[in-house]
Amino acid sequence: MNKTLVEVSNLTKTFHSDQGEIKALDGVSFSVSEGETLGVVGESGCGKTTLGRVLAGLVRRDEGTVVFADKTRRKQIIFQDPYNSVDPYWTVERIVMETCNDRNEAIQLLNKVGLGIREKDSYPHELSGGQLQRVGIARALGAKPDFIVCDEPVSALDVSYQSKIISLLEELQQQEHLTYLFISHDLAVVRHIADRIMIMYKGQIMEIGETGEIIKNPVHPYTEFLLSAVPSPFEKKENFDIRDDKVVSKGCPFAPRCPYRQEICLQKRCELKMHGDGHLVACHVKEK
Amino acid sequence: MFKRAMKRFVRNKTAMTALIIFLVLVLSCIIFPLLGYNDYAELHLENQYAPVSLRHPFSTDNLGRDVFSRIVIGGRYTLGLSFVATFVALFFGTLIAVVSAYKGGWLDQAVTGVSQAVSAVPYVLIVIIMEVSLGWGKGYYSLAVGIANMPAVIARVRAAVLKVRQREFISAARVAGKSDLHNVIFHVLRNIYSTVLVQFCASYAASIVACSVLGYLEIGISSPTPEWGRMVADNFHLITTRGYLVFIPCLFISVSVLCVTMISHGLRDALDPKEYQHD
Amino acid sequence: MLKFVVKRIVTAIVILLVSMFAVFTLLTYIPGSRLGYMNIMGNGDLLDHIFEVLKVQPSLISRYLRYVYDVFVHFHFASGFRHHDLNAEILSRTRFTLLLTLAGFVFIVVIGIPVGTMSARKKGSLFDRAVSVCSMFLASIPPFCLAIYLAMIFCLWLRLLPVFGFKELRNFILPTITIASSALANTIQTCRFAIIEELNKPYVKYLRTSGRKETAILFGHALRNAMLPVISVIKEMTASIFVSTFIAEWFYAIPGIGYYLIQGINSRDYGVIMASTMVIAIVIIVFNIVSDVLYSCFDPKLRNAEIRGEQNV
Repeated sequence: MNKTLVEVSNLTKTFHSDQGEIKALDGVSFSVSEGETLGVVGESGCGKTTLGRVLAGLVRRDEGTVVFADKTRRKQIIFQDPYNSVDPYWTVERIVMETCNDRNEAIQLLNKVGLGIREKDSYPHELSGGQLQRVGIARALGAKPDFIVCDEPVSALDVSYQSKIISLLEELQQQEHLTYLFISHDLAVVRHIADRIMIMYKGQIMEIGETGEIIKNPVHPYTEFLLSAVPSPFEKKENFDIRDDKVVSKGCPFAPRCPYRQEICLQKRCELKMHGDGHLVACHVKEK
Repeated sequence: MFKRAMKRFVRNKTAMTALIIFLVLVLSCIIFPLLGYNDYAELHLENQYAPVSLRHPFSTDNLGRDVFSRIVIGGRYTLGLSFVATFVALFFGTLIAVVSAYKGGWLDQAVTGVSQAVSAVPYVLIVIIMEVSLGWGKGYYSLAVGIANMPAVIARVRAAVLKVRQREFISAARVAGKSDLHNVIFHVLRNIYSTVLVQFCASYAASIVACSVLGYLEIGISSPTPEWGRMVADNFHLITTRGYLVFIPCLFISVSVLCVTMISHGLRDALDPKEYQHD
Repeated sequence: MLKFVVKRIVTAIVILLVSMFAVFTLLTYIPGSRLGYMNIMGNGDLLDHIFEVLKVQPSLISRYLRYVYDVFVHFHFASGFRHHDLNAEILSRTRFTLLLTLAGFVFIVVIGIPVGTMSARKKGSLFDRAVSVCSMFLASIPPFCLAIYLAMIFCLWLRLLPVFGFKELRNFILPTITIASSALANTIQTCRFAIIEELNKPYVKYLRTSGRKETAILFGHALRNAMLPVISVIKEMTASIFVSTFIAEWFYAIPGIGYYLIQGINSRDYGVIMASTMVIAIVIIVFNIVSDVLYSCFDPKLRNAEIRGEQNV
């Protein structure tokens, strides 16, 4: 339970486009232990999706390292939009067989995620979003992974269905001894499933620690902002400035919006420092 | 899924009519010559402008040649050679487009650049250059028409492949360790087949036009050959006296092209009704 | 703004020279070409002096330079090709071709854009559907077929317009329609689609609710933005417009460069073929450049960049 499965250090990735450069990941370092679920939370554009893709092997990193413990050879990923993540011309059975290569195994996996024989010959457009997402999970399981990146797996589903999928994921984690990196913009969802939470903003980690600790005692101003905003992360709060255009190249990326900001916040970038047991915070003002 | 599209196509009256007319045309060009209507080159000067009869359904021309035979044999040139050209354009064009769009990078840029350069050249010039360099009338000209059509094919197919490449099931396959080849064969091709099919018909229509124009201008096709465009040009001086000699091949060309165009519209509407907002 | 135009012109000239080099190389290496033996010496002009001073030997590049010099300084397009009076022929014929092609483009713009706009406004009406059917018909058939139908209707039956000859203005009506036909349908369709798209955009709804009149919105904003895809479509159709021009020249016996080229093919006269090909290539490249410039004039990103005074990419 305490062995480290993944060790990420100083991960950096910059995207180049016509509009200029975007630093999706900026010196990200953390680790994930075997069997745990690390929740990654942040608003759109904070780099969490990129992080997931780098860990899954889809995107090449610019700098930094991602080290998996030896026996972990397999990582998998579950995507946000179930209709986009499956080939519309393939049957469900064929989709799952893409990873496991065996028909019987595919049927077993479909059963495991709660789908029956009836569905195996269906095409994606005949299934509901929730059912399709289960297919995606079955496909991911077919590769017998040790580590699964869940990239907003429930964001595209009805709220009522979300909890079913979350429960399924939790069950599967127990049964198959999986480790999850659970990405979401929705703190309410992450609270339930994650053992630890990592808050990201503009490519940097702002805070990381045990779920209970973060929820009860948020330290970083951004975490406060997110928590105060639950259920809707986009509600305005009096102290917080929602102007978000300026990209600050040095200093804390959250400084333009932070009500606690001081001179040093605009000058020097803050490193993650210990705040409590396993609780790290990157803030000049709030550090102990 | 294909069956549903076919049902939609069948319900489209315009497209079905066009298909039937076109099939009749093609079959005529194959069958009638075998039934004896194949004296397109024999001169019977005594039989000029014969009255319409079963032997000469379209009468004869100024050299006594049976017009009907000339039309049905000519169809082999106009329709047949264009088909070959279209096949060439689509086979190589799809291949190039898929490889270039899937791999991306400098290959894609290069292919796009060359493709745009070729598309800026009128197909007449391409054919001329090929004929001049490789020899006249040696059948290279259907290759040339094929090459002239390739940029359009490459552009369309490439766009379709790029769209498929963005889809997450490709990413999922990559995470599962599937090779690029696997992805291309099993995912990309399946997802672009409707584009390729529609493009085939559109290119075929363009090729028929190109072949008949080249015949008209006598580039690559010379006189006794009864290609329809050639027939129009040969008999043009008789337009005021024996207009039917010009009008008939002209009509056949127009009808063929229109039919193929209608079929391509019908296919487009049947295969991807959401894709094309054709009000 | 001036910086922008100057930069554009310089880029255009570079593209022209590079493309001419490509065509020149191609024509040199075609079997049977005389271009490889072209004399690089002219009649004692400036380039001759330069060649003498630098002791330049005959080669692909020096021949190319001689050709370019002849083209731009002497307006002589036929150096290196057999006939000596080829040049005069080419110059006089090019004028006709340019006239016809421009007439065709003007027709497409003057008829195509308004019809497309009207179709967009009256979406789904009888007018719209009739237009789309007619334009599809017109564009599918080969230009010479259309020419024959037009000739049969207007010349033989109605006796309204003459077919051959090129002296009077009346003579140009049918050729222009023939040339424009292939591109017209695409233009109308693209224009219609583009305007429908524009009118659905949020800023139009805003303008409507703030009381601007529909026509003002249309002409002031939507039309300008819709021109972008229309211009790029017309640019794509340039090649087929030229093909239609050649066909029209051949059909209506107008002595343009297309006619000359086809005559050259029929008589297997390589000199004529090469020279005409070169000239046609130059004309096409120039047209492409012009339409690129036109496109960038309408491109909002570039316009705004200029307004904000930023450096051009």
